[in-house]
Amino acid sequence: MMKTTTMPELTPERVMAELSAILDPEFGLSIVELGLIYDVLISDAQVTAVMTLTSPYCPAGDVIMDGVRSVLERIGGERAMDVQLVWTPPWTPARMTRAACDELGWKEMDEL
Amino acid sequence: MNRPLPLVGGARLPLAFIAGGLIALIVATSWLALEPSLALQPHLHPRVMALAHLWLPGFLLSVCFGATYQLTPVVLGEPLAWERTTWAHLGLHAMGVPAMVGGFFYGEYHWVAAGGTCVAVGAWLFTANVIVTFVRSSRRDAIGWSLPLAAGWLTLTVFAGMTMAASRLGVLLPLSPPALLRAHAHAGIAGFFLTLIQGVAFQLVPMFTLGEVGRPWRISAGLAGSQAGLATLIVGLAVENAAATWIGAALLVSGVILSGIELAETLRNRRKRKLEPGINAFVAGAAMVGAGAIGGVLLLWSEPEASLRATFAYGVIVVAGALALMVMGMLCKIIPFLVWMRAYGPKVGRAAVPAAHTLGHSTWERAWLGLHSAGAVTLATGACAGSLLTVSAGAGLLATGVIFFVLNAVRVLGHLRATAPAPLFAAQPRHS
Repeated sequence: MMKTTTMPELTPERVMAELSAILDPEFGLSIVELGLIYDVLISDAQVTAVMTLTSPYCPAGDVIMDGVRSVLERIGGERAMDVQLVWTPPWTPARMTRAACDELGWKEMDEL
Repeated sequence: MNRPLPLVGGARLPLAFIAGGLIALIVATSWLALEPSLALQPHLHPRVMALAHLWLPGFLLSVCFGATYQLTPVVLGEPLAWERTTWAHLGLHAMGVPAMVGGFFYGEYHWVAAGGTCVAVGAWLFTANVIVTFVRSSRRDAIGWSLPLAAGWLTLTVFAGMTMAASRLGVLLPLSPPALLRAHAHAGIAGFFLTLIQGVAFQLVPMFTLGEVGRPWRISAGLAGSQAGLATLIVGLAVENAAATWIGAALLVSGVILSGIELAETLRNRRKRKLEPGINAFVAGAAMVGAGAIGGVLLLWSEPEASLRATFAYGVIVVAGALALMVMGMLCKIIPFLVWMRAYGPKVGRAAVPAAHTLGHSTWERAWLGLHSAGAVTLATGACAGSLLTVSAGAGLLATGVIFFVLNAVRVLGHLRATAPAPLFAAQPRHS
């Protein structure tokens, strides 16, 4: 009898979990914790990550986007993949998770 | 800007300029540690001139060329106008600086002229590249403007330097050589380095600390004030006009104060509360700019009786203190980033990679910062007091600090030969 292996179902939560392994090189924080991934769209034909960068002048932007593409290619199965870089709404520190703020030593998150 | 731009020369070019600069720094600090009496010589002494050119075009300018070639496309959102000329520039600079320094050392002014010509041609290539890139870009705020303005001052600096070299070879000048030397030094130090820092710092510091520029008008007003001040000061110094020199100095100091206030405000607003040694060094250097400005005004006030020793101390505070701390502080961030981009960037999303700030050793960075700051202050104090013992101690501290800095840089650069990191994810089958 042939043994078969099945892929876990592809959900936005799973995509986010996989993307959380990508770290911003400067802060050493996950791009998900930094709030750079705005949305994940999954259809039978395509998986799309909608993301931003901390600044339009981010010098590591190219590398981070290539990393996101690699992850989507690996987990997307036979789906096409797309990474959309958007600047609206602009990224602000308020998008970071509490854990990311704690890591940076920033305690005034609630003021935002 | 729609999407990020790739690295200039795959990071090799900036790293090559930086490596050349660090070699010059090692030679300069070792030489001063072995011959500390140089700090008690008149600043026009040929060996002092050789040492100064090892520090300025050798170390600081090389590093700033590398960093600026990398930063210009990032800041302006436009690829460099001519990437190929950057390699020609590297070759010219690498040939020119040793010839110039050796020429001063041996009193061979033909070498100085030849080396200076190489450095000048390279600087003009750099200036043209930066200005054309700026013209093609759409960024017109103070940060964007600081790049072509700094490059313009650099062109003026090398022109003044070449003019002085020509006078050594017998060409008659309408200006006195000491006056031209002061104009040359201030065009280079305040014109190129300070202008660059007054702009680019407000790009880098918020990026590294997640800070926010509170009042952008202060950056613009600070830059405008310093540019107006520099133009007036340099004319005043060159033609030995006291009124123009005073007005220029006052405007320059006002501009620097405005920039300093905004830098402090940006840091106060930062979200990354824990400051790394590199940023602390930058802040210490900025504080020494203030000390240097006060020293410069005091020298101006006491002219022409100002002693040669005080002039040397002023130079030490500005060059080995303020500029070196700010530039080396930024290098603590820039070298790991460039190495990370080359060594680990292509592996992001495919393998577990370290963060850029973990490539170095923060304890070594802190050791460098403490020793370097203490060394610069001790050296300046010794030069001012005319104490050989004190300048020896200062030069020793400075050289020891540089050992820590360079060891840390070598450790970071070692990651370029890193073995393949572990895969981030176990290979998973496709749909069966």
